[in-house]
Parts: sequence; structure tokens; C-alpha cells
Amino acid sequence: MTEISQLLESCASSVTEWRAHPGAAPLPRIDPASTAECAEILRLARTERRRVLPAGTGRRLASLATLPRADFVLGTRELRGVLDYESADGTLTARTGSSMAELATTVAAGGHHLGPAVARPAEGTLGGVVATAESGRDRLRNGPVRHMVLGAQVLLADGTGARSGGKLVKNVTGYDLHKLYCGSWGSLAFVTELSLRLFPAPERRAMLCARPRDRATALAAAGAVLALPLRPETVLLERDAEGAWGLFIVCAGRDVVVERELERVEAELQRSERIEDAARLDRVRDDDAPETLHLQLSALPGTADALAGAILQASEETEVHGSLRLHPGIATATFAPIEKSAERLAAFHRSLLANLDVQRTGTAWRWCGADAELSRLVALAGPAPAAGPRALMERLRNALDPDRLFAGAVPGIDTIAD
Amino acid sequence: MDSLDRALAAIVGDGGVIAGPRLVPYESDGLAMLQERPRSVVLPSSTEQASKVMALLAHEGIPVVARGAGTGLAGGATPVSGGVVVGTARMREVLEIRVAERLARVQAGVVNSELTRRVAPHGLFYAPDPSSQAACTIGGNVANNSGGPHCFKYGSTARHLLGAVVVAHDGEVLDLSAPHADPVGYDLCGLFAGSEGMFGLVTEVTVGLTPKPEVVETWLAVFATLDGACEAVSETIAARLDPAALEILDRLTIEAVEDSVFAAGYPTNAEAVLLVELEGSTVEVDALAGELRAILEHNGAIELRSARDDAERKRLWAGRKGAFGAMGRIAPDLFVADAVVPRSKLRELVAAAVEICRERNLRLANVFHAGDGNLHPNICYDRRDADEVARVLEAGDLILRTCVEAGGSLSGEHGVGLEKRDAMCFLFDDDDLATMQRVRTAWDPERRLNPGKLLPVRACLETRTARPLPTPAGIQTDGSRT
Repeated sequence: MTEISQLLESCASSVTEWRAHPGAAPLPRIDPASTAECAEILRLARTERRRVLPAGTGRRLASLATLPRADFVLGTRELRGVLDYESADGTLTARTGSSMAELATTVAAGGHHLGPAVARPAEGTLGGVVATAESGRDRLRNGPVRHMVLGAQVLLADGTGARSGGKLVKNVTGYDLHKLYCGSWGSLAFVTELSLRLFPAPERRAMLCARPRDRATALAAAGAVLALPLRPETVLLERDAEGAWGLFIVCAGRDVVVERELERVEAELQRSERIEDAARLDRVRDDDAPETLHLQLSALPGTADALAGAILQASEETEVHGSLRLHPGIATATFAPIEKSAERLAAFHRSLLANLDVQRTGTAWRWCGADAELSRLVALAGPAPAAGPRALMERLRNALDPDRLFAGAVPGIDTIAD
Repeated sequence: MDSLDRALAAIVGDGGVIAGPRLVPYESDGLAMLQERPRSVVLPSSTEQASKVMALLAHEGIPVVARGAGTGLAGGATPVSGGVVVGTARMREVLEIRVAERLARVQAGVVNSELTRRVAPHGLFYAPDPSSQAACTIGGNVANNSGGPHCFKYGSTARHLLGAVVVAHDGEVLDLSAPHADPVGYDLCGLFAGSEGMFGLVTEVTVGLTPKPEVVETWLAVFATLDGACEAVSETIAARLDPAALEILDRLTIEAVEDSVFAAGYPTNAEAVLLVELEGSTVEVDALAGELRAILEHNGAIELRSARDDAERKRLWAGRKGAFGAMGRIAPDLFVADAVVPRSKLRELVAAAVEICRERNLRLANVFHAGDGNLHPNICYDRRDADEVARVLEAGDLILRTCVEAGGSLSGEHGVGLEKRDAMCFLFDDDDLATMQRVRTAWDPERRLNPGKLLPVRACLETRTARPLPTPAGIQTDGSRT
């Protein structure tokens, strides 16, 4: 038994072994059953100067090239449950270890939709989704996850509890520290509770599928649909590794509204297939497992054409082929290469940056499931997305965690050292 | 001018420094009850000038209060003793409009409604629309995370904030302006919104713009009771319907508006009106209209009018947005309260506010963003009547506590500022507030920016023990009486 495990054995909860992915080194993991016990463990860790990695399922941590250096994982697996579901007000407060699937089921019974509609809700916890700022297939209509969080309860590195925001859809009382925690990847605090605003559950969801013959046709068709005065839930363009295109538009809402929207889109596309089978509708989820190699990009609205063009040109120039998924309405893209050679992928990355006006398009990117070598080569290939004043971010981190107890590392701003 | 003023003038030009009797308009913001004369007012016209100004003031150890148009209602821009007000009134340029990317980059002093006017030809608008939008500034909106009637559908300022340039306490320019779809690293803009001038001086803002909807319908539902109007809103929310705006005005407000230049044709014999806006595609609006009409009728709407054209629509909204100004017709002073409550409890909390004022022989005019649960119980008074002032303050305090005890919060959009600083202890404990203070200190180690605002200056236990009340003559910024 390791020294850490011996340390943690003094706590009430049992210690398990956790790996970010099958090939990763194991870490001791403890999942306390109460916030009080979490606080006690944090105080112990601080006394013993041990680094703590907060985690839900840890699913998204598998996307990192190198796991942050930590002595143990403090998990939220046992911090589950709905604390307050205000159906009449459209808000939900829950413990952060609750699975998104369970929460979605709870609020669906009350006629609500839980955003974000993430790819694998049964595998994701509320805390993990917010900590990694994971958005969902409903982002075009409902926005990013950071716009859904109303308040948070956290434990700081010294075990102190602190709250910000509240449970109301509109609230300007105090500093919105929960905005800071969203996307902080466990680097600032251990989040124990979150309050979210909810959305009306759609009465009906249906998809139109078209097969554009080429990139120009695909982008034009998607653009034409987006220009309609409709509010589709998802507009997705796919290009598989063989070059075949697919356009998928999901309409969701009141039955009569969905029917009319489908008619308008069908008229625009001229040739399309209607799909209402739930299983087939699910294909619009961005389903890449965090540990599989893929490039995620996001850019400003209206720049999707430039984004797609740059990706495909880089693919052609470097002969690194793969599948592309593009959400043109929100200008996010995922490229999953067939190629696995770090050098060739780095060449692709260089070509991509050369073909893209990063500043004008506001593009940010992240290689998920990359190994250390690819991460190193990509870093050499060009500057990382502009992240804003690092010194200020460091001061904020120092303010909340002066001893650097929390091992979470934010992609794009942290250099993760073994 | 003293030596500091001359040094400031050397940066911004003589016209950019205000001193002496010309300081009077800057002694308060919209919360006129709280006043303090600043040492001077300086108006930079660029980020570069603002940086030099802040560096100079840091060197001299001078407290700084940022000011947009001074339309705030919580004392957030009330000067502090010995401090300098740094205003954005000369930073009024729209720097860039990018139609395809649906964003605009503006200097912080650009007026809210001016931005919408500028982007309207492109089929776009800027969604946050506070009632003061004809005067308030984008920078001020960011500092307060301002809302407005249409934030029910579109969200408050933070949801539209893509980037900002902020001048820090020491003059350092923090460029948070590179707009991304999502923040890279920490969401500094999200954190900055609503920080009430305590993190830095915003000089430039990049905001997202919203496409104009295909169809807009504006209704005026007339109710025989205020309860009925509140219940209609609660039922609308519970039914998960999403109109663009839901605003209630009560009888006293209607009378004031109809007697003013903002007269909108509201029926003066109504106990309440509910102003409703539906926006979206034709089919969305049609579907929504049918369901909403049924709810309104179910809750006692005795008449439902629909604006026949754009002119009528604008008139209906002018009445709502001019309501606060119209109150001058019925009382010399107005205590504008701001609280936010769960929408399911609108009726009971509005009724509680009515009763609290009735018990104290005070006239109450309700005009509020019902769709968000954001109440504005506005208490009429005369500041020359010290007894009435005391009753007003007592009523305001009790209304706020009642709302908080029912699951509400201290502010839906006006912010905490000076007015509700000590009331933060109603909601947050010492650890919560200490954590906020830590974050604030990371931005401003000396706590010179807007000192004495938002965070209680004493521990919550002390605050609960002895809470000073302001007087018509004004209060010191540390909370003690003059």
C-alpha cells in the first residue's frame, strides 16, 4: 500500500485505484460520501502537502496528453443527488457527482431539458461537464454550458466552503465566481454543488438528412438553412474519411413548430430524408471518446467556411486524411485523423495554422487523446490560442489556492509536467 | 487645479479634468440619496490615456471610482471621499462591426441604444436593453451585468460579452479582448461582468450581436388585479413558454406614465397591465400566441390588445421604459428597490411588498421584469420629510429581507453597490465573502478601485448587530452617518 493510500485510509471512505485510461499509471482515489469528509481530506492533504486532482468519472481527463502530477484523486462519485428541482421556476440544484443522464431523466419528468446535451451523459458527471466546460449538441439553440450555470458551492484548498451566485435565472449579487470555476478543470476548487437553468423539453425532435455532393454544396446548404428564421437544435456537417458529405438538421420543440420548420428546411434542401427514430437521431452527438485522437476547434460565428476550408486544405496538402464534423452555426469542428504519426500530424497542424487567419476567426484548438510527442510537436508548430493575461490567471489561482494543492491543469494555459 | 489635476490634465487635456463646482453632477449616480463630492473627475478618451491616468492615481494612492453615464441605482458610481472619478464619457466610438461574425467592438462609453441603432441596418441588434438604455453605456452594462426586459429571452450582458480591454488598478492594460467562441483558460470576462468597477476600468468591449427575429408581436394584457397579472406570469413560466419579455406595471405606475410625456395608452382604470413581447419565426410566434392567450384569459385578463404597427409597439415600450422617469409626476423622490425572486412566488412577494408599504403609509408603484422574477417595488417619498425617509428605508429593507427569505436574491440587475453592501450578509456568510474578497484582491491588491462597495466592510456578525441607515443629507462611504 502506498504512503498516500495509508494516509487516506484514516478517512472514512475506502481508497481505490484509478487510471485515466488503461495505459495510464494508477493513482489512489477516494470518493467521500459527504462534503464534510471532502473538507477533512483537503485539510489533511494541505497539512501533508499532497496534490489533489478533483475528478468525477475522470472521463475527460483521458483526453490530456499527460495527466497533471497529483498524489491522489478526490472524486465526486458518492456526492450524488438532486438537492432542489424547482420545476415551476426552471432551475435545478444538484451535487456534482450526479450523472448527467440521471439528472436529465429527473427533469424530463417535469417537462424540462437539461443542457448541455453532452455526447455520453451516462458517463459524465455534472461537475465534470462544468469543470471542463463541455458543451453539447444543443449548443446552437441553448448556448454553451457557462451560460447555464447559476451558482456554485465549492470547497477551497483549505477545506473552507464558499458559495457564489444562487438558484435564480437572473441575479447580480456579488462576484460570479462560478464563472471562474466553469472550465477550470479542477485547478481552483473542489465543486460540490451546482445550480443550472433548465430549458423546455421538446415535444418532438426530428432530423433531416441530406447528402451534398461536395464541400461547396455542403457549406452552401448549411448556410442557407442557418439563414432561415428558425431555431434548429443542431446543424451538423460531416465528411467521412472517403470524402462523402452529410448534412443533418435537428428541429426540436412543439409538434406544430417542428413540422413547419421541417417543411421550410425541406423546401430549402429540395432533397432530404426525414428521421424521427431516436436511435438514429443520436448520431448527431459528437461522440469521440476523449482518449481517441482528434482535434477540436472552435471559432467565431460566421467563420465556419474558413474553418472547414483550412482543415480540408491542410488535409490535402499533408495527405493526413480523416473524418470531419462541423457545426457551422457555432463554428466548432472536430477532425479525427486516420494517421497516427506524430510528425505527420504536426505537419498537418502547421499547415492548418498557415491556412487559417487565427486572429480574425478567433480560433482556439485542442488535440485530445494526443501523446506527449504529438503535444510537443504541436507546441513547436505554432503559438497556442491567445489565452489572455497569464499573470492575472496566476494571481487568481494563487488567491484561491496559494499552496497549489489542486492539481487540475487547464488545457491551453498550463504546461503539464510529469 | 491642484498639482494632481494638472498632472491628469497633462494626460487627458484640460477639457478632460473636472473640478470645483462642476463636480456637483458627479456627486451621486441614480441613487441620489447617497452623495459624496469627488476630489476631481477625469475623462480619458482612449485606453492609452486611461492607463496613464490609472498609473498616476496608483502612484498617488488615490481611490478610484469608475463611471459610465451614472445611471446606476445602487450607488456603484457614488464617489468616495478623497477619490477621483474616472469616467468613460469621452470614449464613445464604435470601433468595429463585423456582421458575418455577429460582433461589435466599442469603446466603453458607447451608449447602449446607440449600438443597436448602428447595427440595425445589418439586421442585428444588441440584446441587453436596460430601461436606461438611451443613456447608459456598454461599459457600465458590463460592470453591472445589466439586463432589461428582453434579457428574459436573450440573457443579461454576460451572455453577450465576447471580450474586453480592462485597465487594471496600476495602469496595466489587461487584454481580454481576443474574442473566442469559448474562453481559453479561465473565463475572465464572465468573472469581470458584474464586478461593479472593483476589478478594473473597462475601456473597450466586444459584444455579440443577435439577428432580428422574423416576427415581433407586442401585447398589452389588462388585468383587474395585480395578483392576476402575477399569476399569469407564474403560469407562463411553469408551462415552459418562452416569450421575449414579460413586464408588469401596476395602477399607480400606469397613472404616472399616462400623465407624462411617455403616455402609451395604458388604461388608467386597470389595476395592472402585462406587457408581453413574442419574437421568433412566424410559426413559433403563432404557436406561442395561442398558448399564452389561454393562460392570460385563465388568470383574469379582461382585455388583450396587440400593437397594430411598429409605432404602437414603440409607444407601448416607451411607456414601460419611461416609467421611472414618469414617477416624478407623482412624488418628488422615488426609492427604486430591486430584488429578484423565484417566478413561482411572484404573487405572494408582490403582495408582501404592497402590505409592507401599506402598513407604513407609503405609496408603492410596481413596475418590474416579471418574466425573470425581478421586482422593482418603487416607493414614493419626499426626502425633505425625515420621518417618511426613515419609513421608506425600513420598508425597503424589509421587502428585501422578505424576498431573500422566500428564496430570492438581493439584486436582479441594479447590483449591490453601496446601497446593499451590508445586506450581502443576508445571503452570504463570512467565508463566502472572504473568498470574493480574495478574488477581488487578485485584481486589485490595494483595494483602491471602488472601495467600500459590494463587500461589507465589517464582518457579518457586526453588520447584523448595528446597521447604519442613511439620511437625506447623505452618508459617508464607510456607512456612518454625516
